[in-house]
Amino acid sequence: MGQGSAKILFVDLSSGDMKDELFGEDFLRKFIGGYGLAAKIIYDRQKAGVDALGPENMLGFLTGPLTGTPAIIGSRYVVVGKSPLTGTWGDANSGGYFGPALKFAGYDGVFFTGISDKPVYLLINEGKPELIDAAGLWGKDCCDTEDLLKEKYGNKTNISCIGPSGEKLSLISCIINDKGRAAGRSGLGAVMGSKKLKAVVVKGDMKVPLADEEKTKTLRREYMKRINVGLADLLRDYGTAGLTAGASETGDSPAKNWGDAGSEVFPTVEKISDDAVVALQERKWACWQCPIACGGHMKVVEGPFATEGHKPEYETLAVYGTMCLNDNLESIIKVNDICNRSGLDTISAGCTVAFAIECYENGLITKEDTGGIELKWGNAEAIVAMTEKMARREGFGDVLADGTKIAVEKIGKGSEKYAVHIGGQEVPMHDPKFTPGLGPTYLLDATPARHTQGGELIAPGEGLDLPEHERTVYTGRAESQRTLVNLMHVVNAAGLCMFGYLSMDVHSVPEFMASVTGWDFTMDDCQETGERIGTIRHAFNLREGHNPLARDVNGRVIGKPPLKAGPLEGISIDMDTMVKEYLKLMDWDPVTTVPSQKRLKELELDEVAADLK
Amino acid sequence: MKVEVRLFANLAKLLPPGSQKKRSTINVKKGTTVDELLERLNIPPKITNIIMVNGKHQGRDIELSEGDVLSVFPPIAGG
Repeated sequence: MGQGSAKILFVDLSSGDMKDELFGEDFLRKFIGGYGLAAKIIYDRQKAGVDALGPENMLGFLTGPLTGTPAIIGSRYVVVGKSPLTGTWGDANSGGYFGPALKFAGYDGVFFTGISDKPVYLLINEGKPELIDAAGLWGKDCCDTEDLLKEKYGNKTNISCIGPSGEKLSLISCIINDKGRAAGRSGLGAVMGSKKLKAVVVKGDMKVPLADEEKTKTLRREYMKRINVGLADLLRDYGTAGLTAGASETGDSPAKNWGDAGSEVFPTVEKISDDAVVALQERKWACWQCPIACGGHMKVVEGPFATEGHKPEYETLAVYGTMCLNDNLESIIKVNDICNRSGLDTISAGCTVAFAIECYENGLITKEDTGGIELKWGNAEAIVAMTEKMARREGFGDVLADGTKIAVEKIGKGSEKYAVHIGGQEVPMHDPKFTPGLGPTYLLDATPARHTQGGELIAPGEGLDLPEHERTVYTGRAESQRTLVNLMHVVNAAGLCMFGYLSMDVHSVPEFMASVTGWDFTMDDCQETGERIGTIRHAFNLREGHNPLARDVNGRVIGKPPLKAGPLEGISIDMDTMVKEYLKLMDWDPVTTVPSQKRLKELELDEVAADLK
Repeated sequence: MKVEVRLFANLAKLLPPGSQKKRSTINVKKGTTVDELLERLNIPPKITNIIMVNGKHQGRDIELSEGDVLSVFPPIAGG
């Protein structure tokens, strides 16, 4: 594995066959790595219309060229595959130690096809892959699974696995590494479960080659002194948990299942934010070689929610807190651990609980349905108990374990008005009424309802001169949207952590790319390559017959009707204008969203151009 | 006149000493704008903070009145 090529393992779980393939510099310059490389490979090799839980769906674990290098912060990997939750392209991004460890084990990525007849895990030990019977692990949670595998292979082993939720094909299940770093969204835990693949286990000490080792180390030294803008301070002091109270007050965070916002509906939000969270943090927790260390190890010593585990992220605190009007921090730490162990996406799980609460409060479901659990706003015990049931697919938990869209199909009674998803995926804790650029991101990214996919919410710490946009002015935003979305695709595909990007000068991205790969890589290359990556992901969807403009969007997300009070009073966002202007700028058809032949050829996506003619 | 200033998360350390629980009551001259008060508190204008007065989003140039509650939030974006 040299920097000129990416070494990818292809595993057929049906036959047990495995083979290596090398992808050379030309390919990598166009698609970089991560979900860029994956989207191109899957587009070329997988036909349209496969069953997301069937043997033909390709499941990939991919690093980027900067993963496992001195680049700041080279800690990430992605999981990819057609999403059983949304029927679209799916991807999910995670940190911790697994991504770098996969590289040190000798591979840049692994793809799985087929379905194993018995549960297995893939072991890659110093470059040698082997499929091993997972009978002793199937049914175990993600923490026990890691402990058992480390017992067997030693402490330097790294594991990415599913828990019972993925095994039971919960469509909101996820893939967990390091006992609580989650490749959360798109329901990819169920894809892994459908293949009877329990874990990817890696071990090795192989060196990741750098084209210019001196330059890379110098860049790291320089940028280490410059991680001090944007979110840096907040992340160092609190992690994303530092955002919860502010988000609730400003309206960034939805409250009460998107039915409300602000400090009046949830006056006690301080109890689940910043200092309150850090008070229960035993020690900080950092991903591989990260100087920010936004993570933490929590301990709740006694009481009904006694537990130990990773610090909940902002999304988890907001969804299980503000969205449910629950100010009991310990219950959120507990529920975070339940989700980490079972392998459930906290965003989707929490949104589904909030949905269920609103159904219960409005009489659409009763105590009989819930098995005695009183799903009321702020009822911490009920929230935890229901999440436990969802994790086990037990009782009413089985109705909720596939997210809000499926829950609506099972409950009926007009419950769709309480289901806040876009194209089947629950919307994260950032309101487009507060950050309008989220509207087009949620609606148009190949994976719906993802706040991490660039745009106004995710801008670099400094170094980019973008115009300021007034919150209630919806025209003239397309250029900024495109610039930021393209950049984010490069950050993701390169294997960099978003929080480094948010805390540093944007020029670090092309500079690290150039010194590590040896390519001439500039800010302009970021734009073109980023656009190409976004376009191939989108093309996957178009070939599936999916038009993002057809995705359902609950009116609460966009303020139709507007809220009557609070920080977002009276706001209805003009999604149509933002989307129209973006599609025009991208040269995608305003009705079908098909990119123009001209633009596809400019991006050197000729095969896509031929398919979409 | 007196106004209350609430600084959120990591901004709280910029409050004057003796401040309780991230809020501080500050004496200002009539007609002081949000921007002027933030400058006085040494809150760097470079940080695109979010400003609210009495629970409503406001611009930095508005004038404060007696009893106003000024809330300042760090930039957003979380995971």
